[in-house]
Amino acid sequence: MSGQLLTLRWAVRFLMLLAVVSTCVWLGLWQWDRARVEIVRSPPEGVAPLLDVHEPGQVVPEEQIGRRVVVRGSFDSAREVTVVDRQEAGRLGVWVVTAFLPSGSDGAALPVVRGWLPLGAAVPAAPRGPQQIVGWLEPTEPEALRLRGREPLPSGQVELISSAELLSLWEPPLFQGFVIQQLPEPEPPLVGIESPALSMTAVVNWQNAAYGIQWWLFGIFAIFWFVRMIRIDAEDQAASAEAHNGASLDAADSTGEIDS
Amino acid sequence: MTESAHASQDKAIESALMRFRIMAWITGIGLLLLCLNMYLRYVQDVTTVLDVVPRIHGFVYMLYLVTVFDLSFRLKWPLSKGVLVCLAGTIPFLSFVAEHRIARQTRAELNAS
Repeated sequence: MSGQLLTLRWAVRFLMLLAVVSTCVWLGLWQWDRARVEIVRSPPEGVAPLLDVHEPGQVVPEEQIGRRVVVRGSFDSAREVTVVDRQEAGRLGVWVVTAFLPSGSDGAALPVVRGWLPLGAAVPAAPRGPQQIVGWLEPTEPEALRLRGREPLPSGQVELISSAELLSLWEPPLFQGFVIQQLPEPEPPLVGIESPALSMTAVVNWQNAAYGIQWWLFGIFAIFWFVRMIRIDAEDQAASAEAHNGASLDAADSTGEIDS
Repeated sequence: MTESAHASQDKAIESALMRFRIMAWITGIGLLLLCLNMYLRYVQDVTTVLDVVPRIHGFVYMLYLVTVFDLSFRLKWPLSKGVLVCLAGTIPFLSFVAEHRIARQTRAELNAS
């Protein structure tokens, strides 16, 4: 085979390889994107009065997620849940969420995370009387984060701070979002909750993650195949060159094929 | 090449063929289960134990590719043939046809040599 034709053939093969590999990478990235949720938050600086940025029955505006808010009112200790599977500083425990009645919101209850408790600790009573609280405004937690499935939890426990679930446990009206208390600092045994990260990603769909990995493996396999073809070709060329050199001595043995 | 070297190479091809045939069957059956799963999941809207199939079928298919790859180099197939046999593993029932034809061809080649 002429050298030019050989080069052309390898150029075509190389383009095919590029097409296959880039398709695999692209499909893998697409699946990987579908497998994750990315949360980026960029709330405005400064503390806002709660009712200026979030009203009962409304969705928390996206740009206000993570906003520091101040709210006056009082706790309604009759309406309280603990949220299971919550980590703080690497330890597993629960969040204590108590209904808070902000003044001027016509009796709508705002879920307030009073703090984190280690497993087994007794929940301290909410403070009585008028309070002023500063904390982060958070939207209702998405169902995608529900990892326990529909398995029922003991009464008074929830897995997510979901406004739909709280509506069935507490009486309406309710704020859709909730506040994680920062000030006043929770009193022991309650532990203050670390400020949420401004951006995070989490794998929520392992099926799509598996597809992503499979696509990338296909891409790697194509490269492997290509490299193997080059090596075989190089061996064939070497054998053919050898046969050619030997041709002057033995004209019969110049087929250019290695013996199989 | 000596007689015994020839025999051992034939044996290696035999076993490469056997690995390919086993994977072709597993891939073919997996593909049918995958279709059944998609029918149940997207048409009938029910979840069944078959929901694990999509998660593992890609890896099964990868093993199939490895066996095709191995056999294609041992038998010095042209690239196009290797690629077509690989693709046959993605079309329901075609993997069985490909398996049957490749097995017949390879046997004939081995007997001829």
